[in-house]
Amino acid sequence: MMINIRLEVSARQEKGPLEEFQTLRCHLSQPYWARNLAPVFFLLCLVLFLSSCGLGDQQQVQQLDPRLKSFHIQSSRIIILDSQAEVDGTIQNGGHDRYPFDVTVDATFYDKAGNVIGQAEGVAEDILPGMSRAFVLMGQVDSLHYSHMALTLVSLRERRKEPNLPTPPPISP
Amino acid sequence: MSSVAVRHKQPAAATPGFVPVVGEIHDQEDTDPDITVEQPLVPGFQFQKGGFQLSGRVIDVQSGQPVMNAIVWITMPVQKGRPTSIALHVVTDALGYYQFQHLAAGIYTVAASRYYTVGDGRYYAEHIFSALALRGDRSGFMLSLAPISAPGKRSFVTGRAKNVILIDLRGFYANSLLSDAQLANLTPDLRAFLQHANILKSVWHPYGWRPLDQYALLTGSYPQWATFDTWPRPVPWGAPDGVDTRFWFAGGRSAHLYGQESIFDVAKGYGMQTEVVAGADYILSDATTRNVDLLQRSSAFNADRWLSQMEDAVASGTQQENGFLLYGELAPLAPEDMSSSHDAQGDDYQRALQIADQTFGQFIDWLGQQGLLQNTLIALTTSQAQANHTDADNFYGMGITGQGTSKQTLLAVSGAAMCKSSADNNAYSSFVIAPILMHALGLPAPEEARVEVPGGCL
Repeated sequence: MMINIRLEVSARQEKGPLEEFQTLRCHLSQPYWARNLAPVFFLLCLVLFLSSCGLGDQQQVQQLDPRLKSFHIQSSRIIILDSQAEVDGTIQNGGHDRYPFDVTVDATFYDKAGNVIGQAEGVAEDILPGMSRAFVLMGQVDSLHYSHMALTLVSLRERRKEPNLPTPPPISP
Repeated sequence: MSSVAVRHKQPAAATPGFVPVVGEIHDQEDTDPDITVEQPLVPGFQFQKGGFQLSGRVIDVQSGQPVMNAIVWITMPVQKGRPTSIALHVVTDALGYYQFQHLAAGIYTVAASRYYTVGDGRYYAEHIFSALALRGDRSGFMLSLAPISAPGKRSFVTGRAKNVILIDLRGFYANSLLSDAQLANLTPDLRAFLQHANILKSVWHPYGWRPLDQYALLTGSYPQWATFDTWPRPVPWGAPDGVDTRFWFAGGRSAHLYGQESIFDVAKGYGMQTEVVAGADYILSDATTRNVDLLQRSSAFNADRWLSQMEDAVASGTQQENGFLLYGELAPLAPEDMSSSHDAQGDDYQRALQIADQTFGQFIDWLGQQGLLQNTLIALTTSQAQANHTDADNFYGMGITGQGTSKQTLLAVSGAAMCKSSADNNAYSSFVIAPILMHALGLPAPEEARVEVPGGCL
């Protein structure tokens, strides 16, 4: 919705009276083309930027899988070594789907004033319904100002790590 | 409680031969030529596929209800002279079920525990189920655990401390504070503290190795070795569990799962905040990390940062209704300077001791300014000795055994619930420290602590 509104505003600006007049007066003349290249480019960038924001929002909406509500973090603790942060915890799948899920968990670290001073991320693998699994989140933190953290369940998507190796040739008989 | 002095028996004189034991290969000091067997990440008794399956449930022995989130682990009994394997761990599901897959046929030891609550106010002490024969798939193997109440809050008694701060002067000999006159001018703040504290002057660590001794300090017990443990049969001091202490597990985190209860577990069970400010080599066992709200480690000591972290922990802890437990390692002596002698004037040891003294003094002053010394117990220990396996033995002598195989510390306690200064010269095991701290808070000792609280002021 927000995208559409912004695009409408941009369109109105584009169709200003002066522009229409210039379009009639010197159609595709070099000075006119050159003068309008910058605004067109700016507009294009703006549209791309807004589109990307919109896509980001859409992706985030997609990531908020309702099934995430079935997962509950049972315990968590933070272990800091200098600026490296490790969050260990357990998460339980309280759902009834027959399949195991990989749950991506994010930790955000805050100082006393509530400012973000670091983040960590990790995955709890293959959590069957009713089961609890341990997770380890790795990240960075400003340890001197650490005050508290918040954990967020981000995704249920399976993570696959493709080995960085060439595909072996087919075996010929 | 009656006074319980630990009797020190001489270790057997037999010379230990080389016994291949799964253990550390990344020896920082490179002083363990015997350690040659790498710690595998996969148990030696588990196949990638095939094999047998063992499954069952963990239940509460009193109620018969399932115990969720219990840690269950399986190992093969140790055989002398043969390599051992790490244990295989699983966590029970919401209905208390556990399952091990792809196991080799054999005789196994299964153990289970749960030293943390899941909102039910209960812990479950470790229980070992030995001699389980596996010749095929086996299901329905029930593991019954006895519950331990975890009230979640404290009932304060007048005169009892609300909070406790345990500071370990890492890298310094007890005698540097107790009897070394040459160092008196370097340690005015520490000695001032000792003058007003109750001191056990002759406390001896059971191993002489830091990770194990730190574990003993925080649990009051020997680590439950993944391969061998004689508990509950007591073993004489100086020969812990009959295991050659030169071997130390330094594999992954799973290798440090001992399942025992620490002072953090106890404190957390009563709703206290728990924090640790430590060096990079703080032992990362489950017992010493599991119920720690915040564990901050630093690769290099910095006095300002240490003070800031400790003060933040205290400030946060004072907001907790049930008080706090804070363990801080005060360790300005860098690991590479550990060989510095205490009597080398102006050398690293003495400089670091001076920094430790100043930092300790600043911290105590700050606590006083915050008005916290009235309800907070301050406990001080030391930990330094090269013992039992190198030529650089305790510089202060051969120890109480006369063999230089001991690692002396002290326990100085000051604050609420403590009578005025006293000194006890009896010999104690450092196992006594965890029960003493819990007792001073009005809390039970860790479940498997091996020594009772002595009488008198402590």
